[in-house]
Amino acid sequence: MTRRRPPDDVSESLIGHYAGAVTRLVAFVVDSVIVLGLYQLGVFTFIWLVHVFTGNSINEERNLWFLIPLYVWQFTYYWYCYALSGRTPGKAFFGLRVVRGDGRDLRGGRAALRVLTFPLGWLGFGLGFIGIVIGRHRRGIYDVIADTAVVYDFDARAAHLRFLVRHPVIELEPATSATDPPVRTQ
Amino acid sequence: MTPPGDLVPVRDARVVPTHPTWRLQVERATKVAVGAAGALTRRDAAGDESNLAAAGDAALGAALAGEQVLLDLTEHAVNAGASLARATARVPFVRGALNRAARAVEPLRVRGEQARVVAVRDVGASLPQYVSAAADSALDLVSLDDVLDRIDVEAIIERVDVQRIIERVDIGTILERVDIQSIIDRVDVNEIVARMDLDALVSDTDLGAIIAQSTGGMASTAVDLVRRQGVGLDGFVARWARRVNPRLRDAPSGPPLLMASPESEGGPA
Repeated sequence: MTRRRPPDDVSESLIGHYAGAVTRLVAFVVDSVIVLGLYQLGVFTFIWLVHVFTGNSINEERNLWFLIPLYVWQFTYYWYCYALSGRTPGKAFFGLRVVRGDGRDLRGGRAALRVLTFPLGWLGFGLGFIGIVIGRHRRGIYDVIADTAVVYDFDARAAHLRFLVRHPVIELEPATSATDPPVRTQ
Repeated sequence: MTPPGDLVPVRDARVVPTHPTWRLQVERATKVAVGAAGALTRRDAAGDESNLAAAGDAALGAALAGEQVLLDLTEHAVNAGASLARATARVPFVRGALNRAARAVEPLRVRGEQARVVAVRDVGASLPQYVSAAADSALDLVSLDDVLDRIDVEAIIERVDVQRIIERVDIGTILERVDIQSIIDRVDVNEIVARMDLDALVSDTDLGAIIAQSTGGMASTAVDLVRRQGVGLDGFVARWARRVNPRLRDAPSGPPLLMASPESEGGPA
């Protein structure tokens, strides 16, 4: 009788461990979609209201002044979420949390510094992010400057147990002969 | 002076009168009768100075003295009769008559012997049944409460070395003989659960957190799936990173304060 062995990634709780690059990247994409989507919704609402009350039409694509509220909105979004709980919606969905370098909770000042220095990661065609992959503490350059780190904040072991509850392990009886297939048992 | 051993010098030896078996049996029966009578009247110790007791002892002493005289006379008479009979038996006429009488009595002797053997055998076989019945009757008459009242149980317990008994018990051997599975099968788990204070159990242990984490719906399932996939991909990337930079193998798993907490176990991929 053979039993499927759980993968090493989920056999233990990962709470507090440095988060990996893939999860952080996907969480950033989700946050970017949320930020830009809400920004576009706000811009469309603003243009529509201006058109309704003044009759004027605004072409945002030709107006660089619209970048200012975008940057303000992005800063507000990330700074507020980090300062409040260390999680943006995208990071919360993937079970990530931003903490200080030693593991303490993030405060407003350090959260602001991290948000402001985040664009440095794009310097040198994204070399500022390389530390997330090959760094000992998996930190980008903005994490190093702000002395922050991103860690897992969900219990992978509990998630695996829930998975087992909903999908019981299938055990295979070894075949009695070379021609017989393994017997599937519950 | 008697030297060591069983040998006795001739000058110190003296003739000890012996009595026939029948007399010894009579004397033994008398002693048993006197003992039984004394036990029934609860007179088993000396020093009772009452007049009635003195009269009883005097009567007993007189009876024993009379019995002794009677036994002596009887023994002498028997001895004399035996001598006379042996002398008479030496007479040829009488010897011939006795031989004929013995041959005539022989069938009766054989028949009596057979009856005696059969009777002894039957009594031996049925004796346990009689004893058991008698014991049952005796126990019916005995009040166990009275017996227990007269027993000092505390004194008995104090004399028992329980620790020594425990040291002599081989727990391993006992456990090997116990069929744990049959015991478990006989346990009514539902009844045990019904007696448990589940509210206290959930609030005082991590069971509540586990239940809370396990009662999510489809959304929770989807989130778990996405997270587990992400962790798996992170582990894949981390393994390749360690191949590129072997120094990452001894890298810390997380921030020091979080690694010190009990929730953080194991290592990342």
